[in-house]
Amino acid sequence: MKTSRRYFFKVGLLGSAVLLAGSSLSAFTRVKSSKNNLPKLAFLSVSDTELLLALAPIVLKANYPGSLEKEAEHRLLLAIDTQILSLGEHSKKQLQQLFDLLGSPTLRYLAGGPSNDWTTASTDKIEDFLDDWKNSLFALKRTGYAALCKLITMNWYTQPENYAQASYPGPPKIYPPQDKP
Amino acid sequence: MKIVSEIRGISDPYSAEKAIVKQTINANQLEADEMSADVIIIGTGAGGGTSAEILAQAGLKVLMIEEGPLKSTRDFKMDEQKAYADLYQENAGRGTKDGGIGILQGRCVGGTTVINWTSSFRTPSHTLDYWQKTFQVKGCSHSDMIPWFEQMEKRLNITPWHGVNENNTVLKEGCEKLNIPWKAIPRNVKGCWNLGYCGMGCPTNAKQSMLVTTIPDALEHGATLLYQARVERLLIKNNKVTGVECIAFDDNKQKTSKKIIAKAPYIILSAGAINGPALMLRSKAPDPNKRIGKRTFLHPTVFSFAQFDKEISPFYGAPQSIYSDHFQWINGTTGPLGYKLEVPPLHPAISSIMLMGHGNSHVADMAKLNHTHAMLALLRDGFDDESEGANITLSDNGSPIVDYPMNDYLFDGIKRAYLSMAEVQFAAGAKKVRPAHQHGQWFESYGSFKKGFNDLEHKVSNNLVGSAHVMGGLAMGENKEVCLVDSDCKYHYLDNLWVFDGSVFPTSIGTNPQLSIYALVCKKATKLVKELHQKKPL
Repeated sequence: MKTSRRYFFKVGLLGSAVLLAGSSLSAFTRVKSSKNNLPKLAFLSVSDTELLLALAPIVLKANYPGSLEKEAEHRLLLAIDTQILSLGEHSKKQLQQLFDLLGSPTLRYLAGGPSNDWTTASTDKIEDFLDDWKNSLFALKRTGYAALCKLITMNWYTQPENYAQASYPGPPKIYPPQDKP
Repeated sequence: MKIVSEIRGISDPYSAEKAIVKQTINANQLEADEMSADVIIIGTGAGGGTSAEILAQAGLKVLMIEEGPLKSTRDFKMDEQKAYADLYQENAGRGTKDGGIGILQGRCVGGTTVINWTSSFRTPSHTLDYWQKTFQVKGCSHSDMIPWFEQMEKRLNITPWHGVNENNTVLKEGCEKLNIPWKAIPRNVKGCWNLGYCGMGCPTNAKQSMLVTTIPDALEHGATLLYQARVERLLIKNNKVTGVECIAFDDNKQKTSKKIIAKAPYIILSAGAINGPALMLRSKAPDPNKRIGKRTFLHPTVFSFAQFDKEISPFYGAPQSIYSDHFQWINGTTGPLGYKLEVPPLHPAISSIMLMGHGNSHVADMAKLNHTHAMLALLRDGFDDESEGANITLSDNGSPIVDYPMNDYLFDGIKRAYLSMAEVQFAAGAKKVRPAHQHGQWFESYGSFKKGFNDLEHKVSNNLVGSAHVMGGLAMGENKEVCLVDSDCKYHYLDNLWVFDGSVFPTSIGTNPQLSIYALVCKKATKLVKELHQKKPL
């Protein structure tokens, strides 16, 4: 299933132009998450959460939602939100641009994303999007792909309920510190 | 190796009834907005902690200022999420400008010494010779440094470690099969339980980090520790730093409106090789040759995974206990990149990032983590014209940006490192080996690895490149064209500012840098004390 270099080149160039457009387009209204079933988030907008929740089952496959079941979405988003808040200004801005780009229907489509909403995009479409970015000739897309995967996997496997999915028995138990001899 | 299942009876050096706690102040709860001292030390990592003990013992009134929180034994739960949030810069998400290199660095009282993996090496003599020759660094030859290495090795109980876990045994056995020299790693631990959680804060006080050694000692000698306070700028007038302006941070790591001005006749900068240069840039410190933040080095590090039939349990046991320097100086000091081979611990979250990718293959790799070993190659940057490292610049809000362009010289070293690691892993009996690369597949023999490996393209965000060592940015030496501090670590262009940390290294070290920082700072701080005692009144 080798795609020709020429095809890559065309798509790549377009993608790059779109990413550059995305970077000067931070005037989006970032609607903060307020859906009843989602936690109160400080950084992620509703559209960002839709993207992350669409990617999570594709990135994590059979491990998602795992034993966390209904809590999975909540825990994952909260952990990602907390992590992004701690990032430096530069990384935070870049992530914001990435989320804004993937939240905009037109730009998302031009950048290789699904034409319809993330909430209704098919599994195949999302797989294609991830593969396209992973294999891109353009560093911005490859880095965007890596950043999205990192945010999802790291904040998934820090949840103690998911240790077993990593064949990790967990840390030793600590009993309360005893300061007096 | 015995896996420990429970921990009991550990006390906390900062528990409420300890006298030293009275000298620790959360900036966010401080009522006053001015403070004063004889010496202000900015940062409490390897450089700041070592300086604080020496200066406080000499009778100086020391004020330590730390951006991060005061977390201690009771907070160390061996939980990745909590550790990264509490103890790491940017929640372990710090990285270079183009995202090509991830950076693990501490952000807490004790700095990176709280979260490092305890490997403690003397500065290689190749490195010290190169500094002398290229940057005109004086008084830091290998023989000049020996007494200071010895002093800090004694202070922090640094000795070679022999409780080698399975993950490190792979490196040892592979080297033996290939006739490559290896050695045991000296570690700064006392009564180590061999748990494997050095990177999350030691829950048994065994790691001799600054948090449990020099900082409590400085406090006992009358020092004050102000934490959750970021120094925003140095106040500079007539070639002197007249004071420092701090902003308090709340418990959620957000800036507050609380400002504190601290004043002292002598200022020591120990904020690390990223935040230190950024502070100098924000302060518009004199810099006639525009050298602040230049030549910042990271020891770019690449990884190779290997699966075994036997259990490796890479979660447990001292994270690093075996190393090989066989490939580090093989081409001499300059020329193609050399690298040191070591082993990283593999806890689930960090492993999930290192494995790269997504979907079923990622899930399958995660499920086999207990049978997985990883090796790392730490590349020695800064010793060749092709290796200028990073440049630190400022974002709009004054926070640092680490711009580290990855060039062909670096990727050449990376490619050779993957091959060396795979060869050692197969020699040790690995069933499958996979480079930490977006397109890296599992190979079942070294022959197939060498062949298939050639198809991989090495470029930004294809390779997993990490760094746990930040060095440089305020280079030391008498050659003012490239250096900013003299051989005593005094800033060339300011009368009362010394830089005591890894940011003065004019190249990377070529090995895990903590002991290099301890020994150099111990030497320079001891000299400073002598000078100050001669120059009365303080």
